Amino acid sequence: MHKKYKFKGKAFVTYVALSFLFVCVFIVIIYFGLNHTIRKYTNIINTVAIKESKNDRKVKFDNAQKKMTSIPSYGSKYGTIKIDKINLDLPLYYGDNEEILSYGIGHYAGSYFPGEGGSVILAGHNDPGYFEKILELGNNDKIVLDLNYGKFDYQIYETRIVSENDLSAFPIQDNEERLILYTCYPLGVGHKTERFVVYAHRVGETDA
Amino acid sequence: MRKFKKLVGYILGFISSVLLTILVLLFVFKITIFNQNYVLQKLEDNNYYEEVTKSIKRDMGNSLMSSGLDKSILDGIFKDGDIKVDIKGFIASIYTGSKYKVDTDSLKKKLNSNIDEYLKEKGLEATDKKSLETYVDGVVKIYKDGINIYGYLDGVISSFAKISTYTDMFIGFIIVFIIVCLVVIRKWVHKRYSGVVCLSSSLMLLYFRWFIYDGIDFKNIIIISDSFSKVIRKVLIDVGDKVIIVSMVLLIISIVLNLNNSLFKIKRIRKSL
Amino acid sequence: MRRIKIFTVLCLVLSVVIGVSSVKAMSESQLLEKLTATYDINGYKFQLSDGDRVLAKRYLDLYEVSSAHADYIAGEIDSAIKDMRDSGIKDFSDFSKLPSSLKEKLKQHVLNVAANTSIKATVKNGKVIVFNPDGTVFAEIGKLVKNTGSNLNIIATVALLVTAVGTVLIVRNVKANA
Repeated sequence: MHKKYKFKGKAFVTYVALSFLFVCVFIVIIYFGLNHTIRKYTNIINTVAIKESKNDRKVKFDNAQKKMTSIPSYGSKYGTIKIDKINLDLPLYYGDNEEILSYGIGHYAGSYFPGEGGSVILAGHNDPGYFEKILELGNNDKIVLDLNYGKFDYQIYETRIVSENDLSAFPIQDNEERLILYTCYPLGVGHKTERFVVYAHRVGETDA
Repeated sequence: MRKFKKLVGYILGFISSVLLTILVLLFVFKITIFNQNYVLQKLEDNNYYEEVTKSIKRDMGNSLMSSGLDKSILDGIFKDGDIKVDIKGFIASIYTGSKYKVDTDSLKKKLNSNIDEYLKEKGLEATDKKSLETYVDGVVKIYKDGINIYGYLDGVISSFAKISTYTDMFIGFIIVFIIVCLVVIRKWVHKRYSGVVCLSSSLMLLYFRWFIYDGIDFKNIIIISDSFSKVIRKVLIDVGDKVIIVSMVLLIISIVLNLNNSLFKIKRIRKSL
Repeated sequence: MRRIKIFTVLCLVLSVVIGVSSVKAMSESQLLEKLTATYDINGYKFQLSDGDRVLAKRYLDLYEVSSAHADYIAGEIDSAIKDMRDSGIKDFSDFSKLPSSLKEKLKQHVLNVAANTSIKATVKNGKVIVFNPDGTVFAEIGKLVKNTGSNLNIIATVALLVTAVGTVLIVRNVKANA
C-alpha cells in the first residue's frame, strides 16, 4: 500500500517528459515532413515582404560600354528637359505612371536611357505647364536633356499625329539613339484618342 | 496486450495533442480572419476607409490631367460615407459568398451633370461625345477599383465563405475526436492524461508559431495597396499574438492539471495515514 | 598508392559533377534569350513586348541571377508554355477569359518562381511592381489584365506576379501572328 504512493513527484516529471516527447515528435514531423511545403509558402509571402526604400539612388553611366550601371529608382527625378523655343524647362522623372505625370515629364521605363544608343520615350500631359506647347515644335528645333549623369542634345526631324493604340509609332530599338516625346491630342475636353509625337536625333557629345 | 494498449494510448495522446493544437489555430482564425466584425474593426482602427477615400480622390484628380476639365467637375460626385458603405457591403459579400455590386449610377449622373455645367459655363465643347463618355467611364472605374481590390485574390476570396463554414465543421469534429481519444486513453493507459495533452499542445503551438513567424517578414508586406498592406500586417501580427496568449493559457491549465494529478496521490497518502 | 587512387577517384567524381553542373546550369544570357524568344502556342505567336524586353535585359544586366535560379525560371517557363499548349486554346489575348484551370496553373508557375528565387515583386495599385535589391522600385509593369490603359501600357495577356522582370508570361504588346 505504502509503495503505491512512493513516486508522487515522479508522476509530475513523467507527465512533463511525455509532453516533451510528443513535442519532439511534432517538431521532427514538421521539420522533416512539412518543412519544404511551409518554406515554399513562406517564400511566396516573403516575395511581397519588401523593406521599401524611397531613397534616391546614385545614378551611374558607363561611358565605355554606353550603358547604365545604376539606374534611378522608379518615380525619382533624375534630370530636366529643356526646349528653348517654347520656353520649356521641366523636371524629368524615371517612370510614367499617373502620379509621376502629375509632377512633370515621365520616362517610359521600357525604353532606353539617354546615352545608351536606343529609343528614349518621354511622356507628358498636354496641360499648360507640361507638354501643351510641344504642338508648336517643328523640324530642326532643339531639345536638351540635362541629367545627373550628363547632358544630351537632340534635334527634331519629324512630328506626327498617331492613334493612341498605334504602337508602331513608338519603336523601341537599340540601333540608333532617338528621342520620342508624346502627349495627348487634340487639346480640348474629354478622353483623347490620339497622340502628338515628336521624333528627334541625338546631336553633340555627352558632357558627363 | 497491456503494452499494446499503452502504445495505442501514447499514439492517441500524441494525436490528441496535435488535434488540440489544430483546434486552437482554427479557433483563433475563427475569431479573427473568419470573423467579419473583427475585420471591420481592424479596418476602422487602421483608418482604412479614409485611406481609400484619399486614394480614390487622388486618382480621380490625376485623371483630370489631359482631360481639359477642371477639378470642380469632381465636386460632390460622391460622399466620403459612400465609400465606407460600399467597402462594408463588399466585405459582407465575401463572408456570405454573395456578389456585391457597387452602385455607380448616381456618381455617373452627377459627374455628367457637373461636366455639362462646366462646359456651358466656359463656353466649351467636347471634342466628341464618345471621348467624354470614355472619360466618365474611366472616373467610375477608379471608384469601383478603389472598392473592389480583391480581384487579384479571386481564387481565395470566392471560397472564403465555404472555408469559414468548413472551419466550424472541423472544430466540431476535432472536439469530438479529442474527447473520444481521452476516453480511450483513460480506459487503457491512465486516468488523467489531459494535463499531458494540454502541455504538449501549448508547446506545439509556441513552436509552430515561431516556425511560421520566424520565416516571414510580416512588418514589410506590401500587397494591393498601402492601406490594405497595413491592415494585413496588423491582422497577421494580431493572429500571432492571440496564438501566444492561448498557448500561455493552455500552459497554465496544463501545469494546474498535472499538479492536481500528482497532488491527488499525496492527498490519498494523507487520508490513509 | 591507395591515397593516390582515392584522390584520382575524387577528381574524377568532382569533374563529372562540375561538368554536369556546367552543362545543366543556365547563364543569364541564355535566360534572357529564353525570356525574349517568340513562342508559337497553338498558332498564337507569343512574345514579350519590346518594352518588357528592355526591362528584362536591364534587370539581368544590373543584378546577378544565379545559375540555379536561372535554371529554375527557365524550367517554369517551359512548364507554363506546355500548359498553354496542352489547353488547346488559340487566343491568349485576354487573360481574364482563359479557363480558370489554366489561369490557376499559370499563377502557380509564377508562385513557384516567387518561392524559389530571391527577386522581390508585388502587385500594388493595379500594377506589378518589381523592386531593386535595395528596396527602391525597379519598374512598374503597366496595367494588368482587364485594364486596357492608354499609351504604351496595353493589354496584359497573361497577368502574373512578376518575380523575374521578364518572366515571359506577361505580354503587353501582343504581336498577333506576326
